Amino acid sequence: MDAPVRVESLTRYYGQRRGVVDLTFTVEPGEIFGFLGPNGAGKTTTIRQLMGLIKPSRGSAHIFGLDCWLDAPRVKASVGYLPGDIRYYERMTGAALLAFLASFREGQVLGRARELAARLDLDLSQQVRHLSKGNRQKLAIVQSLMYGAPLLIMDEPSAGLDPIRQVEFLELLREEQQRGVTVFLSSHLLTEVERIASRVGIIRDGELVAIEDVARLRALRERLMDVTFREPVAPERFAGLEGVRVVAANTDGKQLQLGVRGPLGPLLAVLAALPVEDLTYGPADLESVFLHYYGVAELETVAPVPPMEVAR
Amino acid sequence: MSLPMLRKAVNDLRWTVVWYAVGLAVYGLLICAVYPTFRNSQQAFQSLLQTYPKAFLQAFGVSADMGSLPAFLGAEYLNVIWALIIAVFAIMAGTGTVAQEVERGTADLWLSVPASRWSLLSGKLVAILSGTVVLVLATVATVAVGGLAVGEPQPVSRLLAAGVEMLAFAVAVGGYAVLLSALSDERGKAAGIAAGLTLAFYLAWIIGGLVSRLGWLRYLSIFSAYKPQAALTSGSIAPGVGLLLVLGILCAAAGVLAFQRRDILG
Repeated sequence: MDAPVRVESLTRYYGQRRGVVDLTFTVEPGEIFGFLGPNGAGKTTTIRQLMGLIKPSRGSAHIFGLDCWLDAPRVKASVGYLPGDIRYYERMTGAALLAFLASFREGQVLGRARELAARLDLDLSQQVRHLSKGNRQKLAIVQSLMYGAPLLIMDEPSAGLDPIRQVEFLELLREEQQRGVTVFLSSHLLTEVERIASRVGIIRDGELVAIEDVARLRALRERLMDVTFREPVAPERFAGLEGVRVVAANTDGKQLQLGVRGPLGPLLAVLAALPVEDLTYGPADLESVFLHYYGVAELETVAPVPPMEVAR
Repeated sequence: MSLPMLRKAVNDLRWTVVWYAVGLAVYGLLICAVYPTFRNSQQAFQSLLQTYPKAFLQAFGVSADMGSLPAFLGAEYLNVIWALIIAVFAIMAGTGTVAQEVERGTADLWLSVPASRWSLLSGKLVAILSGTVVLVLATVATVAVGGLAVGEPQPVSRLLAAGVEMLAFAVAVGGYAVLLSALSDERGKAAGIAAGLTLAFYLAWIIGGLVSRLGWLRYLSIFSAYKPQAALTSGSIAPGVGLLLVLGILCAAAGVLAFQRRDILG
């Protein structure tokens, strides 16, 4: 069986401006592949080439063995596509829009659409122009899933969804995966991709930095912990802990920012013996993954400066 | 050609076509209603017209002999006013085909369906052509009804010949509007260029008629090939109709090819 997605040396320039350069990766059948990168990294350029909207400057992209540019109509018959920042025909109702899109496909597409809309609590009788941002995104999710396509290509799919609907959406994706559907999901949110994907391709400045299993990614990425103590605590107390580094410390020794990789247990054991007044543990962010690949010096141009004095 | 696309495009266009048809019919009937007054005072009007330079009258599509309904309708309605109204329709509909989808960001959704670009665009083109045929038929029906009302019924063959002239003109304008739309990311830009081109054709036709040494300009204008008054008078279809149809069809085909190959940038 041909791979759901196979990209080889895929390169796209916009005049002199870089889009993506020499991307090579494969998405295996039945997996959820996260395509992770900051805004402007080239995720959407890659997806637009997969969907045959733009022609590669060099290299190729294939979906189920079909060339994404030359065989675009046949490619799309196998794909449920959710565009990033989706725009609709504003005067159509949700139902009319879905009926229009469904009329290009065979099968019981609209029945499935109604089920999905009910599950996401989406009213299809309203004109699209009257829908909130969240409901527009729900409509986008419904239209991409309703075909029962063997491959889903989704560009920032949970943008605009409230946290409850995000969980519901991820659950829907898991169900699709159980039916054997392959998912190519782009996002700039590490936490979202971590929760659903089995493998992740990381893109930055148009180039593929790495392809990692999510388990390894969890070990690589760093989460920040801000700790406030009732009494001054020397940063050196944390020096010997594996996977823990002091990112910043204030001058009175009562506030510390720690970068944490790997298991939390040893750190919590140390903290339990200290006069901790308050503690916040932030979500993992993409920059911390890039930290692993590029080092601090290169990232200083993109990472925010910590609000506290940097520890020496 | 994609039938779902054709259905949607017809649905999108239907009210526009209805309102244009109503407007064209009302205007045409008004002109027909004025005609008996003109006919009754024909000698006075003819004397007045003879005071104008012949070239001036020709330039604006007014024949010196205005004593018949076809001549009157030609001067007051079909030769210029109708052509400009239908040009606005063809330009707005034609430039809406691709550039508007790109500009509004709906092209991603539009092109996510499993159909080739040419089949999607040709579905829209057939819808526009159908709308244009409706507008031509509305005009022809108006002239037929107006002719009966003023006691100068027009033979069906002459009405149909005039309809062919009108359709060919609309196809020519619509064709280059579609081509410009397929090449552009902004509907406004495509419509502006198409309108400018139509105006240039009109000016070439006028100036070519007024200034004898610039008479060659008329050969560059689509207005020179469009002769609805002659068709209504004699039932003959001018050879220029073929040129108009070829221009429109070639431009539309080039538009489809350009659309097939172009990038759709977000």
